[in-house]
Order: sequence, then structure tokens, then C-alpha cells
Amino acid sequence: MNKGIKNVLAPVASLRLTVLLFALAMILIFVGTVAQKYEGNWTVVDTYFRSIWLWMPIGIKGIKIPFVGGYSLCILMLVNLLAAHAVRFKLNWKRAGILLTHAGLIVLLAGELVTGLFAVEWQMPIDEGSYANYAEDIREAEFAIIDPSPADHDGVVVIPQSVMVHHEFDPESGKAEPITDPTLPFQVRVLRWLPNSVLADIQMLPDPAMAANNPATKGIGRRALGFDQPRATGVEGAAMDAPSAYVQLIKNGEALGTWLVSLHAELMGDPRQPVTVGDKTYLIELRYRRDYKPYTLHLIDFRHDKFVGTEVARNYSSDVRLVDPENNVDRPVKIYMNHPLRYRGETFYQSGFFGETRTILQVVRNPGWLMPYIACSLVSLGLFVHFGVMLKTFVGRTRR
Amino acid sequence: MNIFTKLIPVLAVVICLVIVARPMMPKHDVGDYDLDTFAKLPVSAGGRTKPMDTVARNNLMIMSDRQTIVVDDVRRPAIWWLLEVMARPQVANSYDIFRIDHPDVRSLIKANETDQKRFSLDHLQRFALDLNEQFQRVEPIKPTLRTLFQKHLAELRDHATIYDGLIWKQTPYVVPPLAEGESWRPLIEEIHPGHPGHEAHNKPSEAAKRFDNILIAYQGQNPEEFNKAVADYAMMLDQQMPEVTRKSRFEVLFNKLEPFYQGTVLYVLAFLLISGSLLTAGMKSPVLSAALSRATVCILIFTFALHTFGLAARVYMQGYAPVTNLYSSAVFLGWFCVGMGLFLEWLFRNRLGSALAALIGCVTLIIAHNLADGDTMQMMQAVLDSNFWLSTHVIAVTIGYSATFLAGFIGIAYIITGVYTQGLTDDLNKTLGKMMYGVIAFALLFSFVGTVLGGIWADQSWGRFWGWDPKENGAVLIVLMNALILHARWGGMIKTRGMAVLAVFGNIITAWSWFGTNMLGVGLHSYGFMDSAVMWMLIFVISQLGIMTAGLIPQSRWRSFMS
Repeated sequence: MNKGIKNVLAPVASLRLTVLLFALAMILIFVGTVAQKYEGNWTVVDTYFRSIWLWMPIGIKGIKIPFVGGYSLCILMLVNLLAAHAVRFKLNWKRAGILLTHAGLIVLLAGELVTGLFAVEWQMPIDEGSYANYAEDIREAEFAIIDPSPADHDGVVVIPQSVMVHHEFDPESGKAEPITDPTLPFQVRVLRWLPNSVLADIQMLPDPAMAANNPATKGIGRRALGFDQPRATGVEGAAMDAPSAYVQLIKNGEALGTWLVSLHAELMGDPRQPVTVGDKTYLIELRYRRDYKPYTLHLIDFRHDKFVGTEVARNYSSDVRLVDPENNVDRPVKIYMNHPLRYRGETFYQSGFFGETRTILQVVRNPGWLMPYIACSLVSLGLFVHFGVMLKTFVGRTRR
Repeated sequence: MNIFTKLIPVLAVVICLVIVARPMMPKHDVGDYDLDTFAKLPVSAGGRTKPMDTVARNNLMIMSDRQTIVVDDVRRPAIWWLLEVMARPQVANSYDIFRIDHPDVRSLIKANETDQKRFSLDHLQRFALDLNEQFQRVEPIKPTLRTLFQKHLAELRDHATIYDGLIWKQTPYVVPPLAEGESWRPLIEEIHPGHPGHEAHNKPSEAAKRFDNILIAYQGQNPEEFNKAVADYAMMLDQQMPEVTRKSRFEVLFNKLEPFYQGTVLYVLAFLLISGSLLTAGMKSPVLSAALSRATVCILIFTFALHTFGLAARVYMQGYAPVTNLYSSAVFLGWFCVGMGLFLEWLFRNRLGSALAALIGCVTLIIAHNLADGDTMQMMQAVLDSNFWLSTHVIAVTIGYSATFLAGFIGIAYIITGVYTQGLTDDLNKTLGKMMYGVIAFALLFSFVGTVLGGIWADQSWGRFWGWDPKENGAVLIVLMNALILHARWGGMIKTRGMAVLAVFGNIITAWSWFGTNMLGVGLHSYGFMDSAVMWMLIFVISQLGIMTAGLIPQSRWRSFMS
């Protein structure tokens, strides 16, 4: 290699940098782990591990210091590694192991990068005897306005969560810009947005006065109040936010009323609430963002076995029928723990259940899913070769 | 080699055998009742088929923190107590079994003035109103947010509930599945509790009736009839479910042998001997030191075999790969460290391998003992119920922990020998460096492979190779730590001393990954939140930081390097 280039690369390729990066990564991961006690897993992953840099709390009086994020560390490690090999490249048995190991690491890091950038996770709840042709994004809600009048389908207009939050009533300025769009049959003014909420039946309130300022005038809001909840924390799917909102609907400058819409609305009856505008009736609903699929999954049977005499789950399984007219597919599939269904670049996992008859499948689209497998094989092989060679000389030398 | 040195292995093994055989002798007087046969009857509890003996020991352990009970100044085995509870609850309710430590809980039952540690149900019942009111106050508070007082209260309530289940024959499930399509079920479903011989909702099966006869005979305090009823029932099960009863009998033997308890005792003995050997190393005649070292190795090999037997027996009884929970991870970790220690001893013959094997062996078994709460062989919940992954990912990660700890302990030995003694010669310096390097490389290999295998398992079960779960992060911290040490060594940034100091830091990282992440109480891996463990963890971390500080003292001030 050209000596000039080598001189330039040398500091980037140094082992000192490697060690420094390892140390930084350890700090980042440690603080990011402790942070999960206080913040949702997704928030932590986004701020700490899938970021360029961040303000890191040091645990004293809320003081924060700037720190490198996961992406930056990942890239720096890649640069350091590639430079090191460029500068010190040599091919022999001793180096072969290291080379393989590092190649595997590159694949692993790249895989995590691909996953971070392109993987999407959805949920697909299906009731026994029913089917689903969409998956839900449990990290984001949408406000849907449904026109059930067409005979063969429902007309649906949705407002994404981000737009709803953006238009929320601001008590400081006293402003609440209504959401206006030609596709909407009415204007929507978001009076209150509850990022994570519970509903309480007004009849069951400990103190009836709590319902005195109920903003809702129509629908389930007259029977229930929405309360703020701390944002969900933890890793498992069970910990997800269930937003609610108070929305005022306006037609031609005249308020139609204020509704409480909620992800929990099902508890108060039909989650879709009717809104009458003139002689036309629309249905409104707050739901998780939907992604429609060109195929359907029919749930035939959901099973949930426990160990005798305990509440410990022994297994969950869903017997489903996969129907895809486009590809002429119609076949039964059993999805259970550690045995997902892979179809059309998506993977369906048994993730949870609700009651005895509703299964919840996790749907993941991850173009990089194979990379860790390749990486693991490469690194394992590399380490075995490297340490095998080492151990041989080590034992040989010591026992002599 | 004189006759004395030759005799040492024989002597050591004889001592071991005496220690191990001791508990096999009958030691508790239980009258004329054939409790041995009763103890071996298979039942189902916590989803696993196990002998009555295990149920008795576990429940007594949960409630009273002991495996035996003292009534009227006589020490009785757990199985006696369980039989009393099931057959004669009116009498058994007066036995002091609920251990209550928290002063505020004690004051609720007016027990502050006594130094009595355990209380009977009869005693608690006198304060039932107050206790129940307090229980109800605790109920709505989330378990993780409870104060220590509230936790102890909730614990007491749980123990009382378990006790209740025993009295009412709701647990264990004693009626066996003898017909097609049946499963284990509680006696209460077929025989009216409190009214032995009376039918409950369902028509009692033959097995239920026979089991009930055992209880009736005991209630009537008639040893002859009891022994006959037990023998009858046992014979029936032997004929109809021979595999189950064989396993059950084996487990009773395992319970009696207590291989891990015996192992702890033997590891302590080994550690004392090897310490003696190291202390006498400077004597003029090397005979004593060498003899002690030989004896240690013999005891260690014997104990390692016992330890291995214990692990294998658990695999047989439970039907899972050896590591399924924190308890078994401690047992396995210790086992692996002892194995590696013996290997190092074989390689280097410098007594350090033996010393570390003995020390880590006994410490990990003591840790395991303290982690045991009830049955340590629980069934695995659905997502974890996979022997393939339990035997690859979990084993690899635990081996990674073991090796990292071993490297850390070699680091401690290095620092302490160097700073406080004159024993760190140039040779030893080199040897310890090699040992640490080799062990760290091994640790890196296994912790990395284990971590990635875990990712693949996660991808298989819920489509996420990496979820940044605390336990996953803990595992990757160990990988990074080991990688950091090796790269720093390769880059010449550190030498043996630096490696030792960093290896000790590896101890902290491993302890964090092993226990600390569970203390956070988030994630799928957090199988067990521990309170007193937090304190021990802190003590451990501080001690390690202390050793690291000692290691950072300039080497010219180390006793070994002062001339």
C-alpha cells in the first residue's frame, strides 16, 4: 500500500481507538439499559442506540452530557476495523481466524443497521372464526372517519397521530387550529390528546364531581372519562401505549359535538361511534395505524395450554388458513412459539392473545433478517480457528 | 514418594465418602409410621410430577426457611409436617412454621418482645382482623412499588395462602392420571376436605379413595393401618405408572443426598486445605505443602464428580437442559469454573487452579442456595420451553459468565499476591498473565457465540434479532469487556497488571449482567427480583473496586517488587 495513505490511515486504524470505542459502547449500553427502568423501550432504543448523538443523563440532579449515539459508534467501529485491516493486511493461518471474525462482525453491525433503518413491526389480532387482512402499528394511532354508505366497501379517511398531536389545543395560546381537508366530511378540532390513557366509567367514579368538567357531549364520552397514564415502559408487547382523544367535530362553522375516542373504546361497546351530518351518518374511531395486505389470515383455532395446576403457559398456538388469491395460495398453517410463518418477506409470530379466542400475531418485515445468521457463522468459525490455533500452541508450550 | 503421599488420595476420598454418606442415615424419629414410602409417592405441583418429599421440603422451606421442623423439642422431617398438615390440620395449625422477620410485621402480631422467629397459624389467627386489613391495603399496590414492610406482608399472605391450599388438599395434585385422557387433579375435587371419606363434587376415583385412606389412617393415629394403606397405594402406582414412580424415588434419593449442600461443605474443606498448602509453601520441607495440595486435588475431583452428578440428576428429573433459572445458572457456573480450575491446575500445577476451583465452587453453591425459593425445577413458560435453545444459547452464555469470573478471580489473585505478599515472582507473573489471557479468550468466544445464539432464538420466537432487552445488553457488555481487554493487550496498552485490573472490572460487569439486570425488573429475562441481593451486589462491586484500586498502586510500591 502507498506509504502516504498508510500514514493517514494509521491513527484511524489504531487499537487505541478500538479500545476507546469499546469503552464508549459499554457506557452507552449500560446507561441505555438503566434508562429502560424509567422510559419505554422504544424511546430508549431510538435515543440511545439508533441515534447519532444524545444528551446522556449522568444520574446527578438531571445533569446531561452530550454523548455519541449507537449509529455513530457503529460507523466509527466499522471505519476503525476496515482501516486496521487495510493497514495490517496479511494472510496466514493466524490471521485467517481474525479476518473471518471481523468479517462476521461487519455483517452483524450492518445487519443491525439495516434492521434499525428498514425493519417494521406490526401486530395482527384475529378472532377465532374471523379473518384479518391488515396489521396494526401499535406504536402509532390514527383517527379514522368511515363512510359506510357505499354498498360494497367502506369509504375511509384517516388522520395520522402526528397530525392529531400537532393540532392539539394549546392552553397557553388558547389556540386549537382545526384539521381541515377536502376529503374530510367535517373539520376536526383536537381538544385533548392523551398519549397513554385509561377509561373510567362515570358511574363507578369514587367522586361524581370528577366528571363535572367532562368535555364530551356525544357518544361514549358521556358515559366514560379518559385519564392520563404514564407512558408504557419495558420491552414486552404488553407494554404499549393506548391513546385517547377528545375531538370536537365542526361542520360549516357549527359544532356537531365533542366525542371521546379511544383505543379502549371497545370496553364501552362498539369502538366505532356514529356521527350524523345532515342526513348522512359517518363512523369515527381511534385505532392503531393499519397496513392492508393483499392476502388474508383466517383464524381457525387458538389454543393456550397451561401446565397442570398452574398459571404458567405451556404453549400458545394459532391454527390459521392463509389465503392469497393473487398467488393462488390457500393452505392451513400452524403458528406457535419458536415456529413462525414466513410469507412474502414478512414473518408472523405467535405473540399474544386476548381472552380465549383472539390471537395476536406479530408481523415483522425485516430485509436484514438473514444477516445475523451469516454473521454468527462467520464469527464462530473465525473465533474457533483463532483460539484453536492459540490454544494448541499455548498448551503445547506450557506442557513441554 | 513415600507411603504417606501415596495414602493421601485414599484418605481424602474416604473423608469425602464419610461426609457424603452421613445424611443418608436415618436421623429423625418419626415413630412407627412408614414415612419413607409416603415420601416417595408421586404427586404433581407447579406443573411438574415430583415426590411428596419434594413438595414437603419446598413448602416448609418457603414458609419457615428450613427443611425440618422442631415440635416439642423434637426435630422432625418436612414430610412428617406435610402429613400432619394434610391429615391433622387442627393439630398442625399449632406448629410454628411462618417465619416473620420484619419488625413492623412482627409488631402487628404482638411479637416484638419475644425472640421467637416462627409462628403458628393459630397464633396468626388471633390477629386475623388486623392482618387482613393490612393485606387489603397492600393488595392494590404494584409489587415493584411496595415498601419492604409491604413486601413482607404480601409474602406472609402468600405463605398463608399456600398453607391453606395444603389443608384443603388443593395442592399438591395428588390424584394421578391413571385412565386415558385424565390429568393430575387435587383431592378436593373428589373427596370432601375436612370430612375424610365423604365425596365431593365428582365421584371419587379408586386412587383418590386409596389416598384418602392413608390420611384417614394417619388421622386415627393408627400406624399399622397407615403403613398398609401407603403400601397399597404405592403398589398400585408402581404397577400403573412405573416410570413415574421410579423417577419419584430417584428424586427422594437426590433430596436426601443433597449433592450441592455436600458439595459446598467439601469445597470449603478443599479451600481450607489449599490455603494451608499455600501458607506452608515457604517451609523448609515441602512435604506438608505438597501433601495438602494433593489432598485438595483429590477432594476437588471427588466433589466435581458429585457436582456433575447433581447437575445430571436435575436434567433427568426436570427434563430440561441444566440451566433454566437463576438458581441453576449459579450451580452450572460454579461447576464450570471448578472444571476450568482443575484444568488450569493440570496445566500449571501451581495450586492457583485448585484454590480458585474450591473458592468459586463454594461461593457459587452458597449463592445458589440463597437463590432457591421453593421448587428450583420449575416448568418453563412457553417461549422458553425449548431444549434446543436452552442447551445452546443458555449454556454458552453461562460458560461465558464462568470464564469471565474465573479470569477476574485470577486477576484478584494476581493483585493480592503482588501487593500484599512477596510471592509474585517473575515466573508467576508470566504464568498468571498467560492464564488470564487464555481464559479471557475462551470467555470472549463463548460469551459472543452465546449472545448471538440468543439473538437467533429471539428472531425465531418473536422476530427480533436484537431487542435491547437488559439481559441481552448485559451479555453484550461482557463480550465488549473481554474484547476490550484482548485488544488493549494486543495493542500493548496494558501488560499483565493492566489485564488483571480490567479482569477484576470484568467481575463487576458479569455480576451486573447476571444479577443486576434482573434487579431492574424489566424484560422477559427478569426471572426474579431480589431485594437483599441488591445489597450483596453493592458489597461485591465495592470490594472489586477496592481490589482494582489496590492493583493501580504503582508496582514499585507492591511488596513483591520492593527489594
